Amino acid sequence: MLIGFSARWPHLPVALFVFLILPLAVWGQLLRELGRTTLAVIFPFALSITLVQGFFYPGATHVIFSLGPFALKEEGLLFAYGTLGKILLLAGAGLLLLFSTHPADLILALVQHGFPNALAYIVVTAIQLLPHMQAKAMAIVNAQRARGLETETNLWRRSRALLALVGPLVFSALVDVHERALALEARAFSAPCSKTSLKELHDTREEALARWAIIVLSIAFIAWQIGGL
Amino acid sequence: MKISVNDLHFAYPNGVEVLRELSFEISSGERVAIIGQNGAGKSTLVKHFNGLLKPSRGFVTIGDWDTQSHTVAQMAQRVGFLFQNPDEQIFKRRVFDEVAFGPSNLGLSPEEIERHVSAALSRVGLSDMREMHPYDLLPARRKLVALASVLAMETPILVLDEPTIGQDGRGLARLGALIDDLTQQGKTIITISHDMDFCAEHFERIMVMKQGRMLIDGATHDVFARFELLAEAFLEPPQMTRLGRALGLPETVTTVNEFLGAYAKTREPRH
Repeated sequence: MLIGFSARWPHLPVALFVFLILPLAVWGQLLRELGRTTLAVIFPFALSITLVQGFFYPGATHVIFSLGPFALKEEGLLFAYGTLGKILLLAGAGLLLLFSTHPADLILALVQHGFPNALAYIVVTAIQLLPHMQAKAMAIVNAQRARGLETETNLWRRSRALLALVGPLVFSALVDVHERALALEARAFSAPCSKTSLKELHDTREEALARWAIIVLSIAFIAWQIGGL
Repeated sequence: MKISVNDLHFAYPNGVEVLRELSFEISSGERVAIIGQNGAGKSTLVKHFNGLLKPSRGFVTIGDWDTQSHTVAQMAQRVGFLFQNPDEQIFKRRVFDEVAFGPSNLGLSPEEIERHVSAALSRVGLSDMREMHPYDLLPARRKLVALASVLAMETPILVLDEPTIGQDGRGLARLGALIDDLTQQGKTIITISHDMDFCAEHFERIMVMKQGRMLIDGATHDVFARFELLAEAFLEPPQMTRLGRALGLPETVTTVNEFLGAYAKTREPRH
């Protein structure tokens, strides 16, 4: 990601995505998931950036074609391509990590490298709570529809319905937090001793080596690009 | 108002089949308890009664309405539905307003709403708490607020999903009396419950579900007499039924009063 972002050659982010992220995804048998999610993330960006930059990029002169007072310009499109490439790489790399690494493993690795336990817990619950909150939101929608709240009609009625949906979600989330805190303390979450973990990380020498190699490579590349050697 | 379920099948989009080949009718004024192991499909079934779920195959009609062609909000005029967790619906700052939410969705006039809400609150015993904030009440009371909010819609059919959870003896007695009273008014009551004693006391018909199918559907006495089939659905008959069986009473009893009656008979001198 760092390499792609610091590169002066505009094709590098896209190239990294195609020749690094995608093969890794194939290797991890995550291509379908990764491809679908990346597309879903990228598409709205692609549309808006291409249109906005293509037509309104400041100082652009090479007109490709005109549409009334608006003209599509080459510099704008190039800029859009550069930005999109970066977003593609960012999304691809991030999603690859998300799909290939169980949150618990990630947090455990972070904690073992000195990341505070409480912070790690916050990160991991935030990830794990999402499906839970989604289910809860669905249950609330159902409860209000069962009391005659029309959610299947026009926008005005639906926006009026919002309060009836957000209210219980926030209230019950607050109640949840309270109970969660009690349950954590009851299980000695903040006990002042070092913790052991049920999970074991399989961190091989090769993996550690690869991580160091990536860091060194990134720093070297950035130095090269900035220094312009 | 009659509920009619015809060859109902239901599968989630991922293909998991939850309900299979269900066909039955529930007439006006019946009291039906649906029992079964967790995951047997009880909640999935009752969610078809107000259209929250639509059949994958077959159909469900409430009176002359097919649930397929009506929104849940429309179905709410006919079927009241009490969910397990009151906190998933309560959002108003006064008990009164919370209970008035359903009736106002049905488009009733302010006078009618006032009348419905007052009646519902007095039914569940919360008349003097109408100005309170629902979240200042104990969870068991909040459940009663939710129940009142469903009662206030005055629907001919009521579905109660686990109404007894968290209620103490007094709450249970009140709930039982309420169910008996609503039946007097001709309302149909359908409940899901794991409390066999409660089912025995207040419900005349029991449906036993297992893995999405109807294992037994019959009168309470007949169903609770079938120990082997119930065991197959991982259920235990009510305490009194088991006690009566252990003492070798000649008939199946389900409630304390029935037990006492049958037991007294065995102690009478024979002529």
